[in-house]
Amino acid sequence: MRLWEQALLAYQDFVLIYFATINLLYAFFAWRGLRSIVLYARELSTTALRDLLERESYKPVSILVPAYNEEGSIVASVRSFLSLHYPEFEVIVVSDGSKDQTVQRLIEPFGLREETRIFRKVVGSRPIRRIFRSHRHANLLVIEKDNGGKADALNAAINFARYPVVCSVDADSLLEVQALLRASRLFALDETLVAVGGTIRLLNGSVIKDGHVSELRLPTRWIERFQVLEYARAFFTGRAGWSAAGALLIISGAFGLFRRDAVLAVGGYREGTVGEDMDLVVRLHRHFRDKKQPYRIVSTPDPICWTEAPSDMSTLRKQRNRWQRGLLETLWSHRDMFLNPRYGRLGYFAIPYFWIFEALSPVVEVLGYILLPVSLVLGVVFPRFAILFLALAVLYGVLLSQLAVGIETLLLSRYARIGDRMTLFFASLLEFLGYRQLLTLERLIGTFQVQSKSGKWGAMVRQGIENKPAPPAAKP
Amino acid sequence: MWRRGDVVYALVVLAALVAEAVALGSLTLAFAMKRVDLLSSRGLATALLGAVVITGVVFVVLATYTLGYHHASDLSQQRVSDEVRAWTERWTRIVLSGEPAPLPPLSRAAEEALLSLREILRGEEGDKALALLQSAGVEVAILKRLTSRSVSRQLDALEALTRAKLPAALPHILPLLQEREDVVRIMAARAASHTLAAMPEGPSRSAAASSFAAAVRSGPVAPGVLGESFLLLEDAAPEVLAELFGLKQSAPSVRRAGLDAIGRLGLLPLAYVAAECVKDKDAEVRAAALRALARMGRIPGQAREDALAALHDPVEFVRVHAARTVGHLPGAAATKALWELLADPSWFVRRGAGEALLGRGPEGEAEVQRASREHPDRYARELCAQLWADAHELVPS
Amino acid sequence: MSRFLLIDDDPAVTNVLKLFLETAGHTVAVASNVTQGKSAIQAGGHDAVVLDLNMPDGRGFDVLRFLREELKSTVKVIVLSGQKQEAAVLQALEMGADDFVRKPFSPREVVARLARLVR
Repeated sequence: MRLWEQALLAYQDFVLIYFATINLLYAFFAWRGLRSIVLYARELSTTALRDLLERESYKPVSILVPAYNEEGSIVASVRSFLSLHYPEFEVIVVSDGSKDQTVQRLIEPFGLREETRIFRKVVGSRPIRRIFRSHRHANLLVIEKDNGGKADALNAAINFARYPVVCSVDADSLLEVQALLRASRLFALDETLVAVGGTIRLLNGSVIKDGHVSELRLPTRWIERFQVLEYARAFFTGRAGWSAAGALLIISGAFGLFRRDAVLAVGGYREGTVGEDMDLVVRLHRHFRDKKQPYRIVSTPDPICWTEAPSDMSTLRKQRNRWQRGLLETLWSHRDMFLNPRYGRLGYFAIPYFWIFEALSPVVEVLGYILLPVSLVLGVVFPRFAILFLALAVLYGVLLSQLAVGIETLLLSRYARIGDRMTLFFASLLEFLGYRQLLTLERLIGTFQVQSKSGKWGAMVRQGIENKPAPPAAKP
Repeated sequence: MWRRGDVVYALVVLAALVAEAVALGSLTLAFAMKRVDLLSSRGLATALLGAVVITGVVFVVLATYTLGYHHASDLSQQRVSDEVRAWTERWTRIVLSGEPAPLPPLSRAAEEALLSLREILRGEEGDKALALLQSAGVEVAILKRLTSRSVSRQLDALEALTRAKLPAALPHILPLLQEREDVVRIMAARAASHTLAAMPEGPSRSAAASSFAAAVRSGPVAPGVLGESFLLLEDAAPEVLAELFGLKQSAPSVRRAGLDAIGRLGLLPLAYVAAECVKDKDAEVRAAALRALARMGRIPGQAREDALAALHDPVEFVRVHAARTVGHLPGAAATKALWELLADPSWFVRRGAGEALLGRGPEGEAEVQRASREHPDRYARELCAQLWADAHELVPS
Repeated sequence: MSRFLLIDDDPAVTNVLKLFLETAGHTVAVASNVTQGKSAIQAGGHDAVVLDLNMPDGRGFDVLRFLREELKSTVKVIVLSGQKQEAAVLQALEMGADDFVRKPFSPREVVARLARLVR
């Protein structure tokens, strides 16, 4: 057998093992995740939440809202944060040198007044320009500072935060009214808890009234529907499973709660990376493992944050490119953790997993797309074989999507119409016809841009989350 | 906010995953055998086809189940809530007018409705609801569920006991405080506290209080959970806490949670316990004791000197709480001590001292204003200026 | 005979009180959240309101503020809540509640207090 034939065969074996391993792992996570949901749903009963409120045994929370050019959504989201069902919290909006009307938009509706204020600069940030306090809402603070990126804005906000728990939220998101209450119960019960990641769901397509999702509907564009599946897979199976395994490496920047002292202990968010959310979690793990202190970092399935996903391909590609770069930047800066026994299951399992099955997956996949036709033409692989294998891969992907969507049906707020459910079936098939491949390609491109584009976010196009009526029927 | 049906779904998923593991496992094996020529190409293709078929079948089963569940849960949700509503009315009439009670076994809706009545009613009606829980067989049913091997059923039973507050169940709940699964311990602690809180004062509650104290003494339950649990004890709290601090071997984390409860519940008769703990060797306990005293706002004579001394504790957070406590002490000596503390190296302590001064009424406020101009320490001046501004310029909503 | 409005998200609470009040010959309307409660109050026609503090879409304090500050209504209000802290009771009374009853409650006591308020 010739060398290139052997190489092709070896790659084929590799792909099979890769495929089998990753799918078995997914299955394992799904199972662990589901089990934790079963326990969690019982522990966090109505009685438990009521006791929390009635006994005031909660911990007060500072909500940190970094905002850059968010004039379209900032008023709606601040209003939604202020109307949360939680007895003691503050909202700190940081406009990170916005070039639009982000701050001006807030002044009138919330009665902001500029004030001078001393604060304790615990973590560094770019200079603060102005500080506003609302005289209508004693718990709203708005800060305007020089542009320094998301991490820098979050650090500035942390300096002003007064409460023991901080919650980072994207300015284009809405929190479910009970989100803080549910998440904070975990902090009240477990003193070793350092961070909690909530679940993110998409608000595209839904009816929004007064800062709340009043009716959940599937979006009309396929590109958004595919993302509904992606988020369901990521949060209901992936992160729930990692969390249950005690090796959660990602808490999405769109919604995460942290113990303030823990964030300060690791020096706040790291600037100059586009993956500051993952980076923070990894550094928290390191910090507590290095100090040999007990700690927990978990993800929970139902304090829910609604966010708006990109609805056009170009914005979506920028986002995925950025995610890929963020992932690689974080993994690279913590490369000493790879197989490092000091970090236990993180070093042996989670970090290698992220290298092999997340960071390098675009390379493996794209190589597969190139080599499969080559192998077919050269006769190394039989066509029947290739077709069966592709069928298996697609079916497996569809199955995992269904599994996650099945968990979604257990939630009280779910896509209610049977028609929506059928659409989700089709979406899980259709995403294999181009959508996945395009994004894989974008991630591959991102992989090679880590150096050249370091720290760059790329402009995002947003629709805004002001009151949104039901969308018109899909246009033909 | 979850619907019922998660356990069944978990089982369906488990079955699906086992099938998939078998499929993928045998496929991998087939590839390995093909490499060493133990299997023909045809055999391998068959294995591959088998995997495709299994995955397809699993997908169809899962999809059908999901759709079926979606439909069924939509229908049953309405039905169950109607049933519960009807039962609530029926139970209320039974409580109100003494209509004859139905005989066991009861449907889950009937049980649910009676539990929510038991939860909200007090006095004579509350007692009637308790008697109904026993006579209609709900007590027996819940206790049977509690012994189940399935954790989810056990948790359901504990939640029911939290609401039912059945004194007879306490001996069955307390052993669960030592369970391996965190969630079970959390829910057992809650159920036990709610039950104790609903018991009338008397020898049987005292006995129950000491068994509870003995069960949590060594710290099987996390301090946060225990803290909540103590708050839930309400009227039974003094008995449990007195018992707990009488025991010498209580873990520091347990004492800390107990002190927090003493402060939050304002248990003045137990202020002596907090006073004793101000000099504890565990810093967290010292802080908790000071916090409790500050919360109650009344500092027993024997603790006053110790509280002032705690302003110079080597541990930062102890000093913060000492400042708040000293804020409640009358007299010029306390004011002077707080003024001096405004120059503490720690920002948190300085702020604590400033806030404590502000809390001392007009005299303390004047002191903060004076400090903003005259304090020798620059940081103290800035901080007091800020505190003064916050307290006076802000119009709360 | 009086007309009462019950604002509570717990159907057991509203059911029990409704039955007790109706047996005593009164008329009862029920609202199960803050939004419904506000619009029922706005519609008017009640002699007294029984108000819960913790509801899924907000706090009873909002209803109380709306009632006293925006509508300038003088309708009698009993707050019925499981809130354990003294501060909650004080806040409710300061904001214009006429009475405060803690959950768990004795329905006959609530009925008696309501009767006294509307006398």
